Amino acid sequence: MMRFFLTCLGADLRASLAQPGDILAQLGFFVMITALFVLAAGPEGDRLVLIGLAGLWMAALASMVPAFDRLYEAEARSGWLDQLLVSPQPLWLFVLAKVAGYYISHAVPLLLVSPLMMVWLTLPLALLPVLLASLGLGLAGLVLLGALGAALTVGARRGAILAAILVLPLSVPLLIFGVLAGQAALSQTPAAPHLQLLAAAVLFLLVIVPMATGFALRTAAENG
Amino acid sequence: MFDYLANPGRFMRLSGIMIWPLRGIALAGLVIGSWLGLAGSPADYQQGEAVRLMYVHVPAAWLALSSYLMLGLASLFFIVWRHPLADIAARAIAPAGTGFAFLTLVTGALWGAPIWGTWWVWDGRLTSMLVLFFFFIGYLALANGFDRPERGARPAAILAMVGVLNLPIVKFSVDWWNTLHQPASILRSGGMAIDPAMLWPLFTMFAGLQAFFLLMVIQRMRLLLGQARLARLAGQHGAS
Repeated sequence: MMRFFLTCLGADLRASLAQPGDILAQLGFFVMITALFVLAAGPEGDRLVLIGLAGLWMAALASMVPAFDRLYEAEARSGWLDQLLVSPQPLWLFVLAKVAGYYISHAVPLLLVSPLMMVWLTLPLALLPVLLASLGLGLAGLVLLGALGAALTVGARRGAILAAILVLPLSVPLLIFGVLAGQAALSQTPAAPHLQLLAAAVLFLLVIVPMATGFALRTAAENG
Repeated sequence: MFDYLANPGRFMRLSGIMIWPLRGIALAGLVIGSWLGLAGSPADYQQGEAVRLMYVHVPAAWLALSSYLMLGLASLFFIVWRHPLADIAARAIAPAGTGFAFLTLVTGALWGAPIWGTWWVWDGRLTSMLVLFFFFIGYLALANGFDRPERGARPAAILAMVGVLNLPIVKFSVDWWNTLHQPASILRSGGMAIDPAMLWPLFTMFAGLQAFFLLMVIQRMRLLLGQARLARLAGQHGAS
């Protein structure tokens, strides 16, 4: 089982690396939204410190969500998904590998540039550990939700916007716990409770999402 | 009982019998409840006449929440037992629930304007009702997002079940968010010990609206079944 997981993950990562344009485009989108957020908010005073965290989360959500509908595109087009459905390998494990691959290829670059974004948003560097922890956990939950949203909307009209409409309301707890952790760190109060709740929410998703997603993929394949 | 009802023809017969009694209950409940609420109950000592909005607002909120649970339950029946009517039921519940969630938000805003002095407060309850409304929108968008309507049935059912599991977390997170932002909220939950004179119109309105909700769901289920039958007949006719 572990081998199957690693094989899927490796194939996914190689496929992402073969097309670095997708990752760069998403990263560019993230950076641009952050910059435009600063332009919209205005740079003066410490206003940016107060709302910078919100801007960073919004930019992360906005750059992650629109790409979700293409999560299984390559697998569906090459017929690999159909092969997988008749194979004895569990579908939820494939979903987990897919989530891990997408996280490494699309969420980790975001985390890597977020310290730079913190400078733009005039956030204190002391915030960095909490920010990376909360954003890292929050993006993990978001990718899980995206895997579900993408599986549900395979073959739908307007798949991209539909997946976004499904994922965004479900991501409310991730956003809230994540932002609260950052705000707690900014105001020098303990951020750990919020981070723990965020981790709990992500763990909960980790349990239900692979099952539900596997089921949704099977449905999609059976109905063409 | 569910096996018994699984036959669409039997459902059509039984639901046909239920329509008139439900119409009666809905009409009686809404008329008597409105009269009790508008004339037969006292004004609040603090809120004055504005408190009468409660008789619409509170039942609508109960119905919005319970219809999402019913949506999840119908989806469970559809996924686990492949109950043919469960998908029809879910599709019929969703628009009604969306309507009640919207009604809750609108009457809440109308009630908030004179009492709190603002149309909207980012209070825990308001926010979670808003997210519930978003959940309904997502369900409707997914259920109707495919070229063949029946193709959307199972994805939408999965979404509804995940949504039901997620709703308590959303509720908790929103409360957590809110209590940190504004301790001692404007809304004192349970602060208004309710008088029997206000309880009666509330329950009457609730019974009326509940009957109205069931009526809408049953009528819509009959409509959807009729449409499916029509499409089948048209297909047979076209093939021959």
